[in-house]
Order: sequence, then structure tokens, then C-alpha cells
Amino acid sequence: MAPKGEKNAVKIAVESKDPKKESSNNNNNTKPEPEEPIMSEPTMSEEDQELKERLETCVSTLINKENESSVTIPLRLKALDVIVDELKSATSSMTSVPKPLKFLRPHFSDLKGFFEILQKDADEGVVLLRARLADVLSVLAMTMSDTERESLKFKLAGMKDYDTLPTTQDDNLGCWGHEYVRSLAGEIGQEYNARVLNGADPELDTPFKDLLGMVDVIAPFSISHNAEAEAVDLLIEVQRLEKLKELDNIDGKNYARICLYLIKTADFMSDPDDLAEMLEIAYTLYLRQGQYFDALRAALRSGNEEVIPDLFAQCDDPLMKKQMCLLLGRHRVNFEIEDGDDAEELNELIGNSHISEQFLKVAQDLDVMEAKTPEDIYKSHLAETGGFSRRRDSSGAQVDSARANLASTFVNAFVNAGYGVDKLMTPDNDNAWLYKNKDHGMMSAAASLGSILLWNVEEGLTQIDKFLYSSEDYVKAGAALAVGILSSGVRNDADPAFALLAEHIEGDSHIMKCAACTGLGIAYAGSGREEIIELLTSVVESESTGSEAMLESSLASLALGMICVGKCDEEVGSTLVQKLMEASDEDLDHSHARYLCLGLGLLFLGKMEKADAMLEAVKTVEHKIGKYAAVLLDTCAYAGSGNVLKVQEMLHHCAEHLTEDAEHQMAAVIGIGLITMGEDTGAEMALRAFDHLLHYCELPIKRAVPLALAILYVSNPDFGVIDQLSRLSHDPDTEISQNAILAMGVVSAGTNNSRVAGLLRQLSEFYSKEAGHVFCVRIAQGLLHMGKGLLTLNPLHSDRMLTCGPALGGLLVLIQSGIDLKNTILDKSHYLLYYLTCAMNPRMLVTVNEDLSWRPVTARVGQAVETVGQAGKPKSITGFQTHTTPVLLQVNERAELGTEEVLSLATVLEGIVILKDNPDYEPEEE
Amino acid sequence: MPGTIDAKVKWGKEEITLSFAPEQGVKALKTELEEKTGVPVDRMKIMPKSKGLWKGLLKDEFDLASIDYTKIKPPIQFLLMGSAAKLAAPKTKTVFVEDLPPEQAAKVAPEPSGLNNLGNTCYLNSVLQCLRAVPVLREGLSSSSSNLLLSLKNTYNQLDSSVDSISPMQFVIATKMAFPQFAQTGPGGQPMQQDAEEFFSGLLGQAASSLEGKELIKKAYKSTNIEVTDKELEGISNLVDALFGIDMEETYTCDELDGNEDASSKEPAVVRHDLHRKLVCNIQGGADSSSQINVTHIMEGVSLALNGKVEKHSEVLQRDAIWTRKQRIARLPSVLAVQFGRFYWKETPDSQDHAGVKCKVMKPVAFNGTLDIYDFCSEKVQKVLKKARDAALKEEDDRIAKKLQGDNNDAMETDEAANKDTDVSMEEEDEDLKAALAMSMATDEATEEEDIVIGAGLPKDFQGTYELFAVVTHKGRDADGGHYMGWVKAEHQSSDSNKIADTDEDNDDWFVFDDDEVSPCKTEDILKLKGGGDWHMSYMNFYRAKK
Repeated sequence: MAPKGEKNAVKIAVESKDPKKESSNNNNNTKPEPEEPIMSEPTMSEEDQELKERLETCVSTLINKENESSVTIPLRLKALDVIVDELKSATSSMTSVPKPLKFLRPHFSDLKGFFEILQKDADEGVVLLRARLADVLSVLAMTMSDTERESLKFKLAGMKDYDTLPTTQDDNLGCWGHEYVRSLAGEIGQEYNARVLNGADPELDTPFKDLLGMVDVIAPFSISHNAEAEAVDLLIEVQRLEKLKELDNIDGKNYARICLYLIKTADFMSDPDDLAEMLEIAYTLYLRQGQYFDALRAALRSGNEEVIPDLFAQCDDPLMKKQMCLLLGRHRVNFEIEDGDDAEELNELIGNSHISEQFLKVAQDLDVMEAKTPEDIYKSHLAETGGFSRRRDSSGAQVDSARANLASTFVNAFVNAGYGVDKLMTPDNDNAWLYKNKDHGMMSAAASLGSILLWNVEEGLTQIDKFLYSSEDYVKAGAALAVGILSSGVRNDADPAFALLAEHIEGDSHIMKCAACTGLGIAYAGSGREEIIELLTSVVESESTGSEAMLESSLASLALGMICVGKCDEEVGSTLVQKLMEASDEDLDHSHARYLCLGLGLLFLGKMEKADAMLEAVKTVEHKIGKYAAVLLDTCAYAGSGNVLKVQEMLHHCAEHLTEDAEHQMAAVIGIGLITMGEDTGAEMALRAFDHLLHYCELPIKRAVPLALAILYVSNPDFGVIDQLSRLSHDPDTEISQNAILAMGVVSAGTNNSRVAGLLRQLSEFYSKEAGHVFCVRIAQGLLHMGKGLLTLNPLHSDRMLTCGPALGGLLVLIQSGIDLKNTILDKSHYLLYYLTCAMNPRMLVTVNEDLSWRPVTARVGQAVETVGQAGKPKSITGFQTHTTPVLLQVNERAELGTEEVLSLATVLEGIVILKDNPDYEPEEE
Repeated sequence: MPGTIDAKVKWGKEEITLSFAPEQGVKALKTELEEKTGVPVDRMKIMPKSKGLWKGLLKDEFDLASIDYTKIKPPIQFLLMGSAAKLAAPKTKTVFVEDLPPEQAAKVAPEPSGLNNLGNTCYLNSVLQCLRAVPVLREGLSSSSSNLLLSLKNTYNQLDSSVDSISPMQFVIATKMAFPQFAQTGPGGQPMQQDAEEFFSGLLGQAASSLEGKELIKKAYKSTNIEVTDKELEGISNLVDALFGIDMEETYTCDELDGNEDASSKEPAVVRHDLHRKLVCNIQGGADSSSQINVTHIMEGVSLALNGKVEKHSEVLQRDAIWTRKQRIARLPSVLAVQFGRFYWKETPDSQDHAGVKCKVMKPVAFNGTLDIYDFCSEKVQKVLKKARDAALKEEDDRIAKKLQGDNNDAMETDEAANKDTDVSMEEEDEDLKAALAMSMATDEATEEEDIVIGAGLPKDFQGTYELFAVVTHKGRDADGGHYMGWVKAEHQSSDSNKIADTDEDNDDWFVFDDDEVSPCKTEDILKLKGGGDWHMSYMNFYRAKK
């Protein structure tokens, strides 16, 4: 038995694979065809058998091989109808081929041949038959064809025939089933591309008329059948995304999915025009649905700030306007509402006047108001090897180390940022700490007041005031800088930073000038204020030469870049590039010349191709810094775009084995991080690229890798990245380890992550004799506990969709300084660290009433889940916990309301969210 | 009121409303503000909040009347910045460690500097770091003329004036000149590892012959405020012997005459005096390898080394007999070095060259932060020590009694009945104490006249307790390799002293000198150096007399 059975099995396999052999099979049956399957498929049920026979009869009637005259056209049509019915009504599971399709398979070539024969006839009946046969063939070709796009070919042939017929066929696509539409859509895309390659002009509609006709049917079909993503994909393929605007079946139920898909897919567009178009369409769709908040997000995503006034004009919900203003404030958009009764209130919201109060309230709620000293952060008593020798209290006579104190100054400034109180600087009548710093350190110490009093402009000014009258120039400069830091991201009608700092820009004191430039850069980051640009431009253009003048103009350039971040301001651009071209070689050798380049880069931050012209200009700079400036500008322009081509370009830069003059390579490595930030797939690929760089490249490139990791994972202490950085922090190369330590600080900024805290503590012991390393460790510790864990440095917000320009700019100052720490932050320019205040933002979620008074509600906070293009209503968070607002959000977390009682005006729950009562809410009955 | 303008002034947290007459000018406005806020006029900075006022800071010469107030929504708002507070100048100028010359910077450096390894010189580095903590010796070095000691002095001076580690090149060369055996090189030409104890003994030997003279000794001690008298220095000719020298009283008694009183009286015990510079802690069983006592503590090891049996000719028996050797310390050193007998020569007659191998005993021998040598002293010395020990004991008892009394006084106020009971017990205690006192007084009287010298430069009322202050450890399985490190107690202890968990021992601050790497550690880490694993284990312990 067994061998026989086996033999059969083998035979069956052969047969089923190759139907042609059927005839050669020596079978004695008179009717071989219908009998055969019984032999081969003993499981075939009677119904199937019957179906098969029926289909075969129809096929033979249809083809009418023997040309029997009794078989008329109507009869044939009827036979075709049977086939069509069977095909359409066939149901089957996802994994198997529908039965009718399977049974028709052997006859596919026959039918094709018959179709060819019919081509010659022009009789109306025949045409109808032909057209309908074409439909059937098109469906069959979906699974059986070997030639490319045959399904589409038949469909188009059929369409042509239908056009000649008087009767119109409605719904000739959808009735064939969803799968067919999908397959056809795919072929349309291919066909479109093939025609473009063959010379058709994609701008015109005529060469694609037939295709577009089908697109017009398929797109609405897909959208109304929960396949929004496919509709968008098809429209992208045929470059007719505009059609989305005309579709009338986009409604309240599906707009969100369409727009989300558009926005997320936009990242993958290689052509910036396509990207802009997709975002613009998303904006239009949102607007049409009255989703002003989302429309604003889409507009900000594309950097299209011109539409904001229009948006406000259209929106008549005062609450929604407030929520939009809050978003503008978070995004640091310097927009002013001109008219309306509530203009003043709205402008205050945009100007972030509320931020200090709200932040302090959250701090109170979380009971973290108690000021922390640097020693609270260092926790040297926890040191494993009993670091008694470094403890401050061991003996009173210990001599102060200027550098250690400077580090403590920064730690103090970061940890107590925004709280308004600390234990070193703010206590009245006790300025001992200020004088425990040396020279430039004193400047940073005085400036730390700005960070401590962050956002609280009016009260802060009074506290800083006395420092402005110090006899020490450094203290005065620091106080001036503090005024700038204080106003970071906050608009005040009195404009104190400008009023107080302007005179120093024009003054003679070098140190005051440096402080004033930096202060203005921090205070007005992203504002694009013209009077300030003018003021700073004069510094950049100043005729004086020498290293001090170069330092001044570099800092002024950086400030200009920050103020006009992403504004592509032509005048500023030409001023900066001119400086770059005209400066002497010695000036460009100055380690701070990099800030000149960074200023230029920031000007075009995230603006992609708009930087192209400038890029050409920069490339003409002969000094080696030209290369660096070009790479920096290029990467800044494509920051956050995830552009794969640019990443490859940057990797290409790294291929060369250079041991010196390799700053452009370092910029390229950082650039990879910069380009891929905020785009998960790209970021993951970048991580792998960095591994290769660490293995195969020269030191300069390796030194930049930790910096690139930092920019990829800002305030996001991912386990693997911390691991990698921890490894690099023990590298024998000083610069790699220092950068890695700083990177650990950036990656964990504002998280209080205990693992990083432990690692840093251990590093502080490990490097206890290396002053530079200890300084870096301290800064990292300060960043880790920044704002006592209530702040974040992450420039991405609003569900990681928007990149806050000033925040990214502030971070880049630190990251680019990492290329030459020794001559910048570890030297005298440590006050540039205060640029980080531009990136500081509370990572809180506060729910408020209309008047910004708190309204605590339950909220679920969990890991964000990617829901783009997912079918149905997928959960947007996983592993959530339920809290009562206010709550803190991590970088990868998302929140949703835990109650039906209220509705939020913002679609993304971050920062301050205004709630209103849900009119449809019915309290649950017990 | 016509002619006056209402204004709202924001000043810090406060909001001040006032009205002013534009014609009177900025000065008048500021004066009015000074009255309300106390901010001096010259420190006022006024910035407009309402639109349409002046630009930037309000200047004194600005004409307030030139503003068209009708266009501004009343009240006009502006911001006042200023405070009456003055920035105090620093009381004292801060001195930064970065500005100090290296010598001073080294003094305030958190850790002492280390010595670079110049090719297997860790045996030397570790001993040097330990001896660096003996100030008397260092003072003595300056009066030396020997090349070796001068270079040692220079090395120490360099160490003291440098924040970074230094290379003791000069001293290493001098060492190799003085002791050619340390200049041995291995098959590859590299310097060979040496025995730290051998080096220590050699160095002391050189120093002993170079640092002679009582004046020199006195001078060296004086530098650390210790006065030594001539009487104390009897029998001591050089500084090394004053510091490290142990006068050992060796008594031999013939065992085989035991139980026979007549015979033993005929054969008197032989007493000899010997000078040692270290004690040995015998681990394996000493010369008498048959006695397999399991040594687990330094006290057992030292005691094992001090007591032994030897074969010796007996006059009475007219033949070789077994004698008991008993060594006791007759004069105590200021610095007590204890060597652990970890290395020994193991005969290997079965091996190819029929020689032997230098082996290391890995088993753990514990030690404490202090060492009480009372039991190892000769009777005479013990008598002297007992006096001080009893006095200290009494003091301690007094203290406890006083404390108890203090507690009682507190209790008295609340409970008078209990008071009686305690009084009774107090009296009892007092009696006990008196008895004890009387006894010790008796012994005192006996020794008072003799006033025996028990050692040079020892603290007053020395009780025979030594404090561990430096350790040389060895890591590795064989004597010709491995690594030496020095562990030295920190000179300045941090204020928050605490005890090692579950013990009475102080957890003090120490430094570990791993050649150029110096890092802090604690007494508990030191006590872990007892051995028994592959980690560093103590090879030489240095103790100093505890006050």
C-alpha cells in the first residue's frame, strides 16, 4: 500500500504543477478532462465538481471552438455572465485562491486567444462581449499572467470598448473586489512611470487620460473602503495628489488617517516639492474639517508660517485660538495677532508669559521646589571607593579649584533652571559663590542667574539688577548675559533684553560685547526681529581685526543664526558668507570661526534645497573651514528630513582617511545624526552606520560619533545608546571620552535616569585626576538632573512631528563645540553652554480650563505606538499607566485622556492643554 | 485731572499705579518712583510695555510730553528695573588651586602623588610609599651623605612638590648600584621582579650604617616633636635601630630535662639578646615544619615565629637535645614592621634540575587595624606596659561610671526609689574599683624605682598597642612575578569617622599606591588584604606606636 500511495503522491505533484501533461497521461477514460481532478484531488467535493463543470461549459460556449451556429452572441454573453457571477460571488479565505479562479486557470490562454480573435470584429454585440471578456481577463490576469501589467492592459482595452458603447457601465471596478482594485492600482502606478520614462510629460493629463480616469474611480473607492493609504499611494504614484482636495468622500471619519498618512509619508519624499505638496494638502484637508490645531501643526511642519494669520482669521472658536497660541509658543514662533478683543491675551500665550508660572506650579505639585546644591547632584558620599579626599567638608582649609567651582556653577544653573531659587546665587547678601569663580567663570556664575530665574522676566530683572553695577567687568558681562538668558523664548512688551543689551553691542568692552551678543542670541532665538538683526550685523561687519574681533563677530554670527533660525534671511546670509570669504586665514583659524559657520547653517535649518545657492557660495571659500562650513550648512538644511541621499553623501565624506584637517568629516558624522533625527527608521540605520565608523575610521570621525549619537537621542536615554556611550566614555582618546561623557548628559538631559547617574558618578571617580573630564562629567550630571527632572532638551514636540528651531540650534551650539572642546567650552567660552536654555522646555502635560486654571483629569500615559497606515482603530499607546494631570512625559511617550467627561482642544496632549466639557457625556450610572 | 497721565508700573512682583505730569520730565517721574520703591534714581531703568511710548530704556533727557497719550490705551504701562540692593565685594580673595605653584598645589591635591614604574620596580615603589609615611626617617635622610639615601630624599621631595606622578630614576639607579642583585635582568633583558622585603631590609641596612649618631637621632625625632633622651637611646647607635630596632630577648630551655627539677637547675636557660628590624609572621609553621598549626591570624603567626624548638647541645646531657626557644621583645620600636612569611623555598628533588621553586602561601591570615604586642614582650616590658594599661582601664571605667551616674542623675528627678538601688550598686562598683586600683598601685610601686626604658621615642604611657599605617601587598602566584602595591593611611582623616559594619574598628581613609595610580580606599579594604584569593595580599605590615 504504502509504496503505491507514495507513487500516487509523486504523480499528483507533477500533474498539478504542469497541467499540459494531462493529455499525455495514458488514461482510458472517455472524458478525461472532468475525470482527471477526481483522480488528482480526491477531496474535491461535489459542489466544486459541479462548479468546475459549469465553468468549463461556459468557457466552451463562450469560445465556441467548433463555431456552432447555435451559439449566438447573447448566449455567449450569458455564458460570460455566469463566469462573471461566479467570479464576483466567490468567497474564500485569505490564504487560498478562490475556486472559480482556480478552475478557470487552465482556460486562461484559451480565453486570451479568443479575445484576440474578437478584436477583428466591430459589431456592437461583439464589442460588448469583447469589453466584458476584457474585464474577466483582467481579473484572471491578476493571478495568472506572466507578462507585465497584463491585467491593466485588458482593463484598458475593455474601457476603450465600453467608451464606444452607448450603455454605460457603472462601478466596473469595485464590484470585482478590493483585492483586484489594489492590484490594478499597483499596475497603474507602474504603467504611469513607464509612460513617463518613455517620454510622456507628467505635467499633462492627455497622455494618461485612460489611467487617470481609472484613478478617479479607484481613489474614492479606496477612501470609502478604509484603504486611505492605498488611495494616497496611488495618487502619489501618478503625481496627482492634488486630486485629494477634490474628493468629496473625505469626511470626519477618515480625514485624520489620510492626513496622518500624508504627513508621515512626506518624510520619505526625495523631492522637496512633493514634500511641501503633501503637507499643504494635509493642511487643506484639516482646514476643511475645521481642525485648526492640526492644520497649524501641518503648516508648522512645512515651515509655512504665512498661513497663520489666515488660520486665525478662519477660526472663530476662542478656545481653539488659545490652544493654537500655546502651540505657537511651544514652537517659539514669533507671531503677533494684530486685532481682536482677545489679541493681548493671545499674544501673551504666544509669548510664553505663562510658562514660568505653570512650570512652578507643576514643580510645587510634584514637591520638588527645594533648591538643590551641586553636591546633592554629585552625591560623592555614594562613591564606591570612598572619595573622601575630594569631599568638600573634609577640611575647611581646602583650596578652591576654579574649574571645579565653574562646573558647580553650571550644575547649579541647570539643576535649578526655572525655579527662581537656588542655594548659591540667589540668596540675598551672600555673593560668596560669585567670587569663588575666576574671570570668565565669574561671568558664567553671574549669568547662571538667568538660567535659575529662567522665563520669569519681570521678577528676575530685579534680582539681576545689582550685578549690573558690579565693579568687575566679568560680573557685569555675566549679568547682561543673564538678562538675555532670562528672556529665552519669552516675549515681554518691555523688551528688556534688547533695551539693556543694545548699548553694550555698540560699546568698547570686548567681554561685554561677547556677553551682549550671546545674550541677544539666546533671548531672541527664532524671533527674526529686525532691529536686533541690524544691531548684530554691525558687529559681524566691523572692520577691526584680531582674535578678539573675530571672537566677537563669530558670536554675533551665531546669535544671528539663532535669531533667524530657519528663516533663510538673504541679507543675513550674505553678510555671514561675506565675512567667511573676506576674513583672513588667521581669523578663520580661530577656533570660534566654527560659530560663524554654524550661524550660517542655522539660517537654513531644515529648509533643504533653499540652502543650495548659499552652499555654492560657501564652497568657494578656500580656507579649510570652507569644507566644514559647506558640510555644516548642508546638514543643517536637511536636519530632520531623513533624506537618505544626503546621509549617503555624508558617509562618502567619511570614506577618506584623514588624521588632520578633518573637521568637515566630523561635521558630516554629526550631520548624519542631524539628518536622521526624528525619523525612526533612518535613526536606526544611522546607528548601524556609526558602528562601522567606529570600527573603520580615523580618530577625528570617531570623536564625532558620540556627538552624533547625542543629537539622535536628545533627552531619550535609550538603553543601547547609553551602553555605547558608556563604552566610549572610557576610550583612551581624551576627546572621544569627553564627547561621550557630554553626550551622556545630552541623551539623559532632564530625565534623572538613575542608570546614567550611576555611570556618571563612576566616571567622576575614574577621571578624578583629569580636570577636563571631570568638568564634562559635572556638566553631564547637571544636564541629567536639569530642572530636577522636569525639563527636556528634545527639540521635537507635538508627537515628535515638529522640530523647534531655536531648541535644535541651541543644542547644535553644544554639539559643534564638541569638535574642539579644548578651545571652546573647556577654555573660556563655557558661557556658550547657556545656549542650551533655548532648548529647555518643561516636559509636562497640564490640563487647564479656559482661563489657564488647572483642571486635573485622569490621563493615560504610555509608550507611543506608530499608528500610521494601520487598519481600524489601533491603540496609540501601549503599557500605559493612568495618572491625574499634571504628569511628566518622556520623549517616547504619548498621553490620552482617561475620561469621556471632557474634550481636549489639542489633538496632541503635550504641554498645556485646554479642556472643555464634552456635550455628549453621560455620567455612568452605578 | 488734566495734564497728568495714569500709569501702571510693573516692578518685580509688584504693580504700582501712579499718575505723573509729562511736562515735569523724566526726573520727576523717577523721583516719584524712588519714593514708592526705594530704588535710587540713578539705578532706575524704565522700559515701555505699552506700544507707542519711547524706544528702549527711558533716557533722562527724553521729553515725555512729546508722546501722544491719546493713542495709547490707558493706563500706560511700563516696566521698572532696579533694586536698592548692592553687590557686596568679596570678603576675602579666593585663592584658586590653578594659580598655585606646583609645590603648594601638591599640598592641597586630594591624593598624594605616585611613582612611575620603571620596569618591574613596583617592589621599590610600594616600599618607598610606605616609608614615606615615617616622618622621622625622612628627616633623618637629610643628614645622610650616602648616595642611595640622598637620592631617596630627593625622590621624596619631588613627590611632595608634584601633583602628578614622578619617575624615581635617580633612586632606582642608586639602588642598583648599592645592591647589584636588584639589577638582574630577565632573559629578554627586562629588569626582573624583586622581593620587596629584601629591598626593605637592604635599604634599612644601608640607612643604618649611614644614619649614625645620637645627635642625628634626636634631631630627627625632634622634627616630629618627640624628645628622646640619652637613656632611651642606650644601646642604639643609628636612627634605623631607634625606629625599627627590636631588641629580642631569646631564652632557650632544654626540654628533655623537664620534670626533673634537679637536672634543670643544673642546666640554666640560655638567654641571648638579638637585634631585629622586623617581626615575622610565620604562616607555614616556621622552622619547625612538623608543627602544623593552622595560622589564621597575625597574632598566631607571630607567636608561632617567636616560640620554637631547636636541637642544641646540652651541657648536662652531654648530647644534642631539643630545646625550647622563646623570643620576647625587650625593647619596643617606634615603627614595627611585620613580614608575612608567604614566600618559601620548596625543594623539588624529583624535578629535572633537582633544585626547588620559590612558592607563595596563599592562605588567608587576617589582621586588624591595631596590633597589641603585650604578649610578645619580655616580663620587664610587660610590667611597664601594664601600668599604662591599667591606668587606661581605670580611666575607661571612670568614664563609664560617670556616664552611668549622669544617667542616674537624670533618673533621680523622676524616680527617687530607683535612686537608692543604683546608689547601692554604685558603692559596690566603687569598692571593686578601689581593690583593682590598690593592686595596680602595688605593682607600680615595685617598678617605679627601676623606670625601665622600653623603647625610644614611644608616646607617654604607651600601652603596647600599635596602629597599622602602611601595607605592602603582593598579587600573583609566584615570588618572581606578580605585582606589589603600597597602601598607606591618609594623613588627614575626614571628619565623619565611622566604624566598619559589625565591628569596633574605625573605618579610616587610606590611599592605595599602584605605582603612578593613587586612589583612595578605606580600612575595610585594607582588612580584605588578608589573602586567600587571587587579589592582593599583605606581605609586609607597618605599624606605629599608638598614643
